[in-house]
Amino acid sequence: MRIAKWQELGEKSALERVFAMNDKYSGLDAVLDWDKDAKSAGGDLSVPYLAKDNMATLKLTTTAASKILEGFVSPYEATVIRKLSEAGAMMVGKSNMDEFAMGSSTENSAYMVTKNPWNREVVPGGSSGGSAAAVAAGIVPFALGSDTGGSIRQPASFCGIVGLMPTYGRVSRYGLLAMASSLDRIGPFTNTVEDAARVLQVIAGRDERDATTLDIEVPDYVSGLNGDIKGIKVGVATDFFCEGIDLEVEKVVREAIEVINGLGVTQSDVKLPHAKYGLSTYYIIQPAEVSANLSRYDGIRYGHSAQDVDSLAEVYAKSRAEGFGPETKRRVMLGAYTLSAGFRDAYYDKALKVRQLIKQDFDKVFENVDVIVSPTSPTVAFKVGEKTADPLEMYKADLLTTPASMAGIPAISIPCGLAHGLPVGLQIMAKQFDEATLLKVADAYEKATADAEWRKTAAKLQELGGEQ
Amino acid sequence: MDTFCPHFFDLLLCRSSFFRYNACDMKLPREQVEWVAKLAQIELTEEEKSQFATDLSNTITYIDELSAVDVSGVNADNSQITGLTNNTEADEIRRCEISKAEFLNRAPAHQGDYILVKKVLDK
Repeated sequence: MRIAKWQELGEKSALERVFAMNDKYSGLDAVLDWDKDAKSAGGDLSVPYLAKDNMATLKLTTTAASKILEGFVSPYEATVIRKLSEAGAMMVGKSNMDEFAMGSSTENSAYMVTKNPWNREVVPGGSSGGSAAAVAAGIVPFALGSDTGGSIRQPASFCGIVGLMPTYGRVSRYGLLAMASSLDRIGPFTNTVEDAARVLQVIAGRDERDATTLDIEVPDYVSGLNGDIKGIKVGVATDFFCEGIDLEVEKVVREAIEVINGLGVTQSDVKLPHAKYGLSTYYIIQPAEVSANLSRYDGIRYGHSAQDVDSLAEVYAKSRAEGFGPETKRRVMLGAYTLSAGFRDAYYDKALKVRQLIKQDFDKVFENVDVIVSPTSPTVAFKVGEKTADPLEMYKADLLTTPASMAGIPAISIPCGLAHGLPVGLQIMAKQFDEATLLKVADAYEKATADAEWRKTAAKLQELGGEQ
Repeated sequence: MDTFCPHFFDLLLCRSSFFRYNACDMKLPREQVEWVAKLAQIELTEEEKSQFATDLSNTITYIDELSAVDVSGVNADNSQITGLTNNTEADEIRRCEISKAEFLNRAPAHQGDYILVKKVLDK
């Protein structure tokens, strides 16, 4: 249900609806901590929402789904939370996620495994799986997620909703628990593109407290959404229809691209020869930055601290052994390895250079096109437990999302149909700071397919009562 | 001395394309996993050491594909992806909005105005 519809309900009924929908979906395990007395300060966006649990909030716990921060309440608040509350939005809870946002299925949460509302047997994607599942189930009209290598777009794709990763530096990360600082971004999950534009409108802009935000004017994202995209140049990322892509997913995405083609755009195939290195580059840069950022969790100033220890070194090693889950340990160790003496040149410095090559590929393509389209994920949502035994297989779920992460460009995943009875996402990428064009194309596709049969299936998920 | 990882030079050899696929398709040696765990300040169980040896070598073998990418002439000195440089803050003292008590109360142990830690140096 759209934000505007939720607003018509009024504050009281909207909050009642949140908990009624949550009851309908008991066992979905999307939310870690609730605020049952949330209130609106009044404003344009006076609806309930969920924030991913890696965003600092004053009232609820902020754990990043890690045992090391169990029960932790932040003494300060993230800029996005403050801005949303000033716009009237009511934060009703903190959503489940992969621990410290590392994972592609939300199975790495230390607390619970979120299920996909389309089918409880499959994952909602990750790492922002709780936010995606809750929006898809209609528990809230929107939720915040964070995207480092695909953590908004991939769960949006798996849950059949809209997920927007804005340009690096468009939205302040102040109060976002740092994971990989050169990649982390905050963005919304919504049911419609217009809603994503409305949320972005509120959270975008320069923030003195995040030195990576830029002083670039925030345009009116909503007013440009008129369905008219005649003359826009669309590039099809042929390299993204890669080996290993599910054939039904490919078919659905190609059909979606045909629909866009029918809207008066100029379409051409584009080549991004280094995009295939996005994943390797990601799995060097991300763990390296993680190993530095997560060194603050040492059992000294806050968070879990091991008991019965004799030395300071033991406090660190044991607190982290007890507090971190397996995937977090793996990444911290991988980062420590690639940054260690003798290896830094071969891994981290090399990856930074390959990252520039990926960026240059995009720059070159964007000389001739306005947006690039591709699948968001090579597959639909996979089964719970299917990939947990093989971390590298899990990493490969990010194959098509990491290139945009590397290039700092905005990208959105919008639902474009079903394959094997589960949602498929279309990824649209644009130039840095050109969210306006990105949203315009996404919105035009959404309007052109408003009556599609699969959208009715999606809408059914959000009805109160009935079988689920 | 633990600056360089155990078997560092063997690994360098591994990274050359000739040896890559036969020499490195195996678990990381145990002492290397222990060395990385020490750098990462994480105590591992025996089971974890064995599991991470497999997981880490699989991932390292995969990311090693970058060794074949030609990056000559690429300048990554400013790796800030939006090209932002020297975004500095005014050098002025600002009062912290968070009180001392709020910090201290979150620490596992404190005494007076100080956070308590284990002894670092012996007399």
